Amino acid sequence: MVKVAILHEGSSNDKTADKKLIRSLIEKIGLPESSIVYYAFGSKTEFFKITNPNYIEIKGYVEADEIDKILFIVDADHEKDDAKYKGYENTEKELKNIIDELGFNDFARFYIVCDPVTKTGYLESLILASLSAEKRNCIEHFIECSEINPKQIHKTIINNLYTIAYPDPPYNFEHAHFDELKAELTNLFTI
Amino acid sequence: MNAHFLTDIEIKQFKCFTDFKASGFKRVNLIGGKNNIGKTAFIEACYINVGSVSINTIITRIIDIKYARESLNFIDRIVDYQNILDATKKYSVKSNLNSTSFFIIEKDAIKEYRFDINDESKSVNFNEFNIIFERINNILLIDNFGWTNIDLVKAFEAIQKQDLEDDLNYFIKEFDNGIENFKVMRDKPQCKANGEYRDITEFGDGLRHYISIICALYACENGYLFIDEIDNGIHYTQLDRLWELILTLSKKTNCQVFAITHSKEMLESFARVAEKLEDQDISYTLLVKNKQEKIKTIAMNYEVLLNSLAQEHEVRGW
Repeated sequence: MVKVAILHEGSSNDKTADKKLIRSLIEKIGLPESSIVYYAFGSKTEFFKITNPNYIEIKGYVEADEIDKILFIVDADHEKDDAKYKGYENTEKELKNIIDELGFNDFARFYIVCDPVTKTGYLESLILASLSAEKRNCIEHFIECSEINPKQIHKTIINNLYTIAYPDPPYNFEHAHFDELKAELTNLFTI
Repeated sequence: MNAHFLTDIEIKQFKCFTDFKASGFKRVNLIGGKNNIGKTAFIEACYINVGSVSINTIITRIIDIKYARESLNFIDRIVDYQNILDATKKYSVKSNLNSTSFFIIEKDAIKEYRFDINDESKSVNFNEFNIIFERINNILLIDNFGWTNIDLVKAFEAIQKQDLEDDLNYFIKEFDNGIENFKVMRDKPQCKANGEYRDITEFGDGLRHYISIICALYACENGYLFIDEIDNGIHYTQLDRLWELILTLSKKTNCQVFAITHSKEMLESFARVAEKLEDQDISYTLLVKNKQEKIKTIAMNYEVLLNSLAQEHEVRGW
């Protein structure tokens, strides 16, 4: 059986939507949850620190053949923030660098999460993008008016608003915006 | 890191290990892994390596570990120690401390024992071979079956020499407040309960194991203590206190500890207590088999272990 590590932003609990959404999607697709181990990196910058304890653990498991494939799921953020790791292209470039530095090239892939239309934002932006324009605008207007910052609070607020507004079903996984992520997750289990 | 600590080891050949490497050991090291992966063989390899300073000591250690495993089979039998030694055909281990190897060479109707200890090499003909036991007092192994009375009495001497009987009794009362005192009388370890001294064998295995570990930590000052199945007989409510004692006493006596467990509770307790005591001089080494059936290690230092447990990583359960 293929053994998989999924590396995501946010915490290992459901404080942000990251792990919750990925697990829900995996369940929806019918992938073997028991073959997956999740690594929560907290903030995005942690992905780019080669000494992160998650990487030390993963390397050990990889060398012992306990992990076969790895998927990084990382937010794009907004390029306007003008930081090294912000924006789709910067994120892509830096992820390629860290995967190379870790020696994971042969078995690691990444998926940058954002609003698929604008190529900006976070995993929460992908969730909002799967809503109808009317519903999405409501939440986006609220966020805009409240001038919420920084990013982690922003992500948490979107997640909370979304969870309250649309508890059942929580995510619109039928939307085409999720197809690419579904494909990446499915690809993890192909030999 | 103390200079005498074992930090890296390469087991070229011993039991189930070939070309195996492990590193990152600290003052207190917990070893985990599934059944029959080689955890006991691993600490045996370390135990032999750290204490092999001469041909006599390497022979003694190889015989001791085999005897410990087979002791139940030797009851009512005359023990042929050379036969025990012969059962371990090859041992070749190099660490940051010593390079040690032992082989039996049988060629052209001649049988020889070959020893290599650091820069010293010697071959001894079977007919000239004479076993001289030579033990090092501050390198001890508590095997899966626990210590005999003789082992415990000997380790207790270290406590007596330092007049620390009151400390030991305090620790014992923490474990079981029904035990009033511990003494050695007529060469037998005894515990006083309800005003009466009784042989320690009449009490639970956990108490004996607990007292053995404490005595051993004092006896192994500036040395090494190896403990197989550390949680043997210990109730889960006592695990944190046991680790508190191991972490504090090993620091005090400058003793490097290697312990084996199968228990997730034991691992969690180990990490929890290390965090509480802010003792980062620990490691967890998980032994696993890769797809080629070779034994590999996953080594975790303090930071990685705490992070892994906080995220409830369960790769161990594949």
